[in-house]
Amino acid sequence: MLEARHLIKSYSGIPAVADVSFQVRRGEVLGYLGPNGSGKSTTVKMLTGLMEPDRGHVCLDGEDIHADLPGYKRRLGYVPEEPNLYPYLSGAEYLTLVGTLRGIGARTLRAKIDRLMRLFSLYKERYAAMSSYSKGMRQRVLIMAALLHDPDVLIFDEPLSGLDVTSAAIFRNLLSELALRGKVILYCSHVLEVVEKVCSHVLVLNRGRCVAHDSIEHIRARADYLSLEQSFATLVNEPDTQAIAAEIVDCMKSHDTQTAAAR
Amino acid sequence: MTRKLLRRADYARTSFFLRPLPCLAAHFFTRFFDSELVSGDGDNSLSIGGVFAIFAVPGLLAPLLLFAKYSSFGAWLTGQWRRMNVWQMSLADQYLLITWAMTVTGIATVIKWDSLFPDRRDFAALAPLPLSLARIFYAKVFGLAALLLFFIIDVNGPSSVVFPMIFIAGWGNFTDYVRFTATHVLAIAAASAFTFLFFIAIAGVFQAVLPPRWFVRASRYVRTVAVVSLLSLFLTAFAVSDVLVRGHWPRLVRMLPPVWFVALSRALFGRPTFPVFPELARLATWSLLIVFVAAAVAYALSYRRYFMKIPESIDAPAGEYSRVAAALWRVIERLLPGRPAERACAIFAMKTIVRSEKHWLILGGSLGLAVTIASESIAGAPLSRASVPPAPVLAFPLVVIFFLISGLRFVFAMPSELRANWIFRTCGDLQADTGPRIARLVMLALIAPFLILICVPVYAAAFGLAMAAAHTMFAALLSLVLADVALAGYRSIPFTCSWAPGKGNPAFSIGLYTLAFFLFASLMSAIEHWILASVVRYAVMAGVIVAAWLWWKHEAANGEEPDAVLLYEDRREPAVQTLNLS
Repeated sequence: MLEARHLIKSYSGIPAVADVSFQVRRGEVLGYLGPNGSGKSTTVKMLTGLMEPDRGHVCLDGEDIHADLPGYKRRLGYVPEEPNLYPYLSGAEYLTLVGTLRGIGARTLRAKIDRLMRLFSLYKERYAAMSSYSKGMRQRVLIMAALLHDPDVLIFDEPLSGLDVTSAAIFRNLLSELALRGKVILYCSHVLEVVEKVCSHVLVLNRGRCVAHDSIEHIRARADYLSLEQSFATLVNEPDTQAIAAEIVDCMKSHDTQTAAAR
Repeated sequence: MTRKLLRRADYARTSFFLRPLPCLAAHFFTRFFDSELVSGDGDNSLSIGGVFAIFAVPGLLAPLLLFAKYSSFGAWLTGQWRRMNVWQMSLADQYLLITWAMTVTGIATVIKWDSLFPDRRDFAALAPLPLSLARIFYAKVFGLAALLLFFIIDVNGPSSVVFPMIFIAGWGNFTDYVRFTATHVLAIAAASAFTFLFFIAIAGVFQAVLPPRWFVRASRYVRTVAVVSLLSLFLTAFAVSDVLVRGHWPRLVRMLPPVWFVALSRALFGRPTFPVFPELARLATWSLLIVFVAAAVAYALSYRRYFMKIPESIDAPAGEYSRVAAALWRVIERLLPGRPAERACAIFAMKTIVRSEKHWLILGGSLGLAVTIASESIAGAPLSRASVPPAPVLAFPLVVIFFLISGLRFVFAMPSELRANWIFRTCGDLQADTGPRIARLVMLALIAPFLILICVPVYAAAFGLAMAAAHTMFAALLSLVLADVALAGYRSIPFTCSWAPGKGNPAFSIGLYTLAFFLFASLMSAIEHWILASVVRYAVMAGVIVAAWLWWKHEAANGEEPDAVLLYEDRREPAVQTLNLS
């Protein structure tokens, strides 16, 4: 079980995460939601051990991860929000580097990489520099890198970004399959339709604070909403999006005299 | 009133830069400073002002060092007053300043080679806008011209004012000063423009002739050759200084471009009156004209083709690596000693050196400089088939090793794709001592082939196998020591830690490296020459070096902090540090 206990993090005195607590059990997919700047990325950084909380703890199976950080990292698979990769390495080279750092033996690693690259439809491009990969291809490399060592905990930050329809469908099924095999999964996303389909529970963060943490059915039932999107809008006090859109169009229409003359 | 004028000036400036062409030109100008080498992306944070200050300082300091040489009072005290001909003496120093201007301009142009044309980011930002290709072209040309102008003023401005002042002060009048300064500025501006336009012409021709993918591949080799050539050109300033002041310039010296511009300046100034000046001045003028036309034609021809081809091209060296290369990397990885994770990181570091253009360029330049210095040293050595090679001949591998290790140490600190380092941070059991072990592995893995494949056969052919083996072993032992000394305090995996270029003291570092170079290459080669004559001396010296090395390693291990971690962010030290007394 992955557990965040009273996590607090501030940047130069400005709170980014204020007393956030939650648990993700084995076989559970927790959807981690929140508008931009709500503290999602900061929480993910703390959960992956990239950043230490000012106060609070991240625990795996009751043990603080900082008591044995390398041991925790061995059990962690992480797909970051941005596909930051080494563009001059090929996909296979990158996965070999990651696999070796994860301590996988050379023979097993080669076989695993070949198989995964075939399954993720990247086998033909295995020797190509990642600079020539599309965004979706890079995303697939990141997902493969996270799965390579069969981790117990998986943290996905916008994993569907750039994926085509087929790859996205495969990934959604993969999530269910991983959950069935008892993995602890945290899924951060802005795409609420997907979260609704793949997550058993959701946690909504707003301005660093947890404003809801429950199963999707309960959250929807709480205010009699039909969709998670409506619930989310209420929970984070989303402004009137239709009015803003109308105002943007008004703004587009207004020209100064100089521009009008140029036209 | 003043406030009103200032407000109007500010309004005029803002209005000017809000017009499309000046706005674009200013954008292109600032983009020249937006790279991983000089700024941007948090890898390092040198501002444009900082970059210009760095280039301006040598030009200001170098003439000040000449003060004693041209002091009329000193000449009077030493009785040289009547014999000194400053107009002739200053030829060597003027050559040095012109060579410096050409080298700096050339290297800056080569480094910014990619920015000479609009790049992918420019394309992404500008292509959807209703801007004609011609307008973007003119803006880019204006940006380039502004860059050249700023560079000429920055690199040469201080020296152009101070240098004539120092050497004319006791020997000429104010008119001489003004006339000389004018001709010197003209020559130095022409020399800088010549270098700048020369590389634009080269880049333009390559762009026009080669497909985009091949241009990316070829440009790295062309740029490496260019950097090595420019550094070699700079070294000629010390090699030809005696010849220049004598007045009889051999044909080879007359082929050096800086000489043409020295001649141009003196032909206009009129002193000294060497017969070779008018001819070389004409050569300078014509060569400038030719590179100007060549650059204009090549740039204009390649511009449209390049800009339109951007979406089809890719950022980094071409698409597919061969299977042979992949197999070769696997073989190298197996040959390396150490734990699998360390070997994997070492291979990653080697691939970065080979495939990342900026790292390759710096290391290539460093090695080129090493080969030039070592070759000069060998060329000046007495060539005989003596049983023990002379010290300058023995110094060759030591010079190369010194520049290789110090060059690697420098490039290791420059991050590559810094944001991608999260993978090292989130996986593996990489401890603080893993970083230096990986760095040492890479250094030694690159030195070993040089020693085995080049040094042993060459020295065996010249001095016999026994001498070659003894020399190679000595060089290998010194490499181990130097690698450990160079990596003292190093706590990161190569290319994964952010860079804080302003953190160290550059003057101190340059002094330290110069001293280390003379100790390593000159002193050690002299010592080696002495010990190679006797087996006992050799054994004792090797024993002393091994003992010193082991002592160093022991001390370094003792000095390590128990809770040290691998660094991924190297922050600048704060300007004011507290003593933490409370």
